[in-house]
Amino acid sequence: MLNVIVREHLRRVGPLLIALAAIAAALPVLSVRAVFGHGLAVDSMRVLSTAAGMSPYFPLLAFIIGLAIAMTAWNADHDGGHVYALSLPIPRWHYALLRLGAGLLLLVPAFTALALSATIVTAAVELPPSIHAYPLALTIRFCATTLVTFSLFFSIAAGSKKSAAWGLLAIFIVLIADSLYQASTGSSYSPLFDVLLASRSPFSFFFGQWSLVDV
Amino acid sequence: MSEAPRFLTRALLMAAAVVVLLTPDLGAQAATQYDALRDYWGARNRAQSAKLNQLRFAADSAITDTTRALRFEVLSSSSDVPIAAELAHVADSLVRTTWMPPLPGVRPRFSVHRPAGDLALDESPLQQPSSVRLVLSVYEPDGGRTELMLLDSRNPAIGAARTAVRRSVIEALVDSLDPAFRAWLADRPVAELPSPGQWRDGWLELATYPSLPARGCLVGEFRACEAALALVSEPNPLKAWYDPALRQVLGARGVQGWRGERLTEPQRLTVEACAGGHDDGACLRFLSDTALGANSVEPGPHALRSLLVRFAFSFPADSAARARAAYAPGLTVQDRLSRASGLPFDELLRRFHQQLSARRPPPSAPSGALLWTSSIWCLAFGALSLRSTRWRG
Repeated sequence: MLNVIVREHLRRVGPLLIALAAIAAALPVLSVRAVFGHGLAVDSMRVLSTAAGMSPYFPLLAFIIGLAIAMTAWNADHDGGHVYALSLPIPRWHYALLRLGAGLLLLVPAFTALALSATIVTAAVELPPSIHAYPLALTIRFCATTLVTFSLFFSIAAGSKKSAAWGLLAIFIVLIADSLYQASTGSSYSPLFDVLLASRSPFSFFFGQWSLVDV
Repeated sequence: MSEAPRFLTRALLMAAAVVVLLTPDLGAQAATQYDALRDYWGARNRAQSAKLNQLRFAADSAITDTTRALRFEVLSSSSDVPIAAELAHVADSLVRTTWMPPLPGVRPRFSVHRPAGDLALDESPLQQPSSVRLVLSVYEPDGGRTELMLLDSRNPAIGAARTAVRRSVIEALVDSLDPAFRAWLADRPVAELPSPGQWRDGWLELATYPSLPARGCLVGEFRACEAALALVSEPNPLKAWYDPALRQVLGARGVQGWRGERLTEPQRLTVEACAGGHDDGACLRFLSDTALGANSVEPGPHALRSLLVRFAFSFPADSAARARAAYAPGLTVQDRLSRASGLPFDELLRRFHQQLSARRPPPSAPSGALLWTSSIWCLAFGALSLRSTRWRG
């Protein structure tokens, strides 16, 4: 059954997935493009600044991939009025687990594209002595961020409109409370953003060291 | 679903949509919030750092000494103007955190009084100070005194005044330094102890500097570090400090640096031939030409020298010796730093490199905490999604 769900999901997101995997493969190449054609005479500073310039695109891509796969996971059921899912002789949680598994499997091509590209490109170029490449670290960080984004949006998409409404209401209340706090203290400091960016927050994965090469 | 909850759901959805539509610019707000958060934590870090420095200088003060190093006076036309008190506070904390601190037994004097209009705060129609003018007096160890007039009308905010005081205090300190020592420092020295971020920047500069001494220093060759710090005289720096590839890198930097500037045709050809590679002769000509790249011939980054000086002054050595080391003429840089730190120079250099290496930016390997946290979040969200109610509409 997992096979059927994966194929069905893939049919819907196939072209998008190919495009995203291609972008994932291109980013490491673009990160070290300063090295191309310079051999040993490459300026370390330029290599670092080029790589740093590309680094925001890695978490952005991780977010887009996680979001795209998660939000399209339930499209087939939604289009068919959930008839197929409800007619299956399996518990509901089992079906949701299959959908989750199918989504996770569809993330693999992008992970593979990034890992292969980063490994090959860093092995192929000659970096200045003081600069090191971190393809494995970048791939792990990318995978972790994509998985967290995917699971977050998958859980949101798995809920009913009512639960989505409750979620929106909760967000609305938190935003209001945060604004009231700022207004009452006269400070621009936001506890909400403090929580969102805390080191254990799921949003903290988007920050940190995302560069393919570093000192 | 009955009518009431359905109505409530729709109302909530509409309310949320209205909130989203009416919110002027969520992106801009997010950026502002992020800046505020960064400033907040930056301020907290600075406060902690200042406390640490104060503790360090409190430890120094345990040594009995009667020599006076510096005395500051902030003169204000009005004692009830908050900015004057604020500036006195700034000057106080500056003196306590500079690497040329007041000597034990000497209490820096800050006074806020009326010296016949030496400081004036012009009031704008909005009752905000539109300019800040003040006199800062710096008393030096030999009894000399420097009067500084500060005028900053571009930005009336307290931040600008703080910057002006900071700049003037530091300038006064630096001007008192031995000229040879100052020439070696090359950059305008920063008379404050280095922060962890500045150590990190120092490492980055060393790691990216295109010279053989810098690369040798990076891997722990102390003689190379001495060379990178410009403490070893080199008769033929172009050959000793660079290989052909590094000379080409300097040429490429030259091309970037002079983009848009007027060069004669031969000069342009020399720079381009050097940057384009395969013409080391052009690079040698480029780096020998005082009108072109001769100024960029350095064994290592200037920032490293400043960092070493600040490091040497961070040791709890005898404060009088420290002041003499900073002000006495005729000493070599090595002797000066050795006296300031109370350590033999080789040992100082070893510790400096150790400190630099310890503060290098951490490798970008994801920590175990990141892996654990992401796993837990994935499991939590995954478990939540298993309670799916998607078919309910």
